[in-house]
Amino acid sequence: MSVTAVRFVRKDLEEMEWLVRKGYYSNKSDLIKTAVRNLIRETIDRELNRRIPRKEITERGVNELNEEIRSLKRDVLGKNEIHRS
Amino acid sequence: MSWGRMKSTGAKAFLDSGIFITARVFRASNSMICLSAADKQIFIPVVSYKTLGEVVEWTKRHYDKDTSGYMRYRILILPGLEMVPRRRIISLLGRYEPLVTDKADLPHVCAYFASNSDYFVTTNRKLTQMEVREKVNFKSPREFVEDVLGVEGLDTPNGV
Repeated sequence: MSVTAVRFVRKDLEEMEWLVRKGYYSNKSDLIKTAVRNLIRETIDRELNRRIPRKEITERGVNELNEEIRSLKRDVLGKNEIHRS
Repeated sequence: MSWGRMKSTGAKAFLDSGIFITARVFRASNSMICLSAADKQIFIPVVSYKTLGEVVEWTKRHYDKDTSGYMRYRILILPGLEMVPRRRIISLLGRYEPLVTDKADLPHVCAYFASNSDYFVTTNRKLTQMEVREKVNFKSPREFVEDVLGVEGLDTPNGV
């Protein structure tokens, strides 16, 4: 590892310790888990934003979506035989 | 929306499938604010295996298998997520069946009770008018954002 790389790693470690000391995270493990989760979330959101473009909200759009969700629920219920009757 | 260093409310909220779908379909919604707060660990999100199934099915119908996989993981990655399994729902079906008119909503209501959630956040207004409303603390996304999270909600149709 080069001297520059060592400097960077040391700086990151110091920053991690500072964040834990300040109470932003309970410990270093918590910090790393949060960082990894955020990274995955950002990747998924980027991909979903590309695949499912968002549209403007309208009364009609909301009503149509709600009806669609209700119908979907009935279909999924039938599929997974959860209801006993 | 920036949450700054807002502390967790400690509240447990059951999120209906409509919340995840609405947040993904519309550009600005209170459902989006709810999910953003869940990402920031401001409350404990609860979903049932049924919610997950519905969201995945909706995405498969409109898009493709890969996109539905992304949607599934987007839910599963919510920090502190509590998932209510099938067996916990089954045992409660008989008890709440008479109070829920639309049987498609029954598993969700049972999941709310099984998880001891404090709130049931839903975009489904019909559900909130059923007999079970006296036993369930229903909130529209806007009510949840304003009453529980304490931030200003968006003026959207039905508070979605």
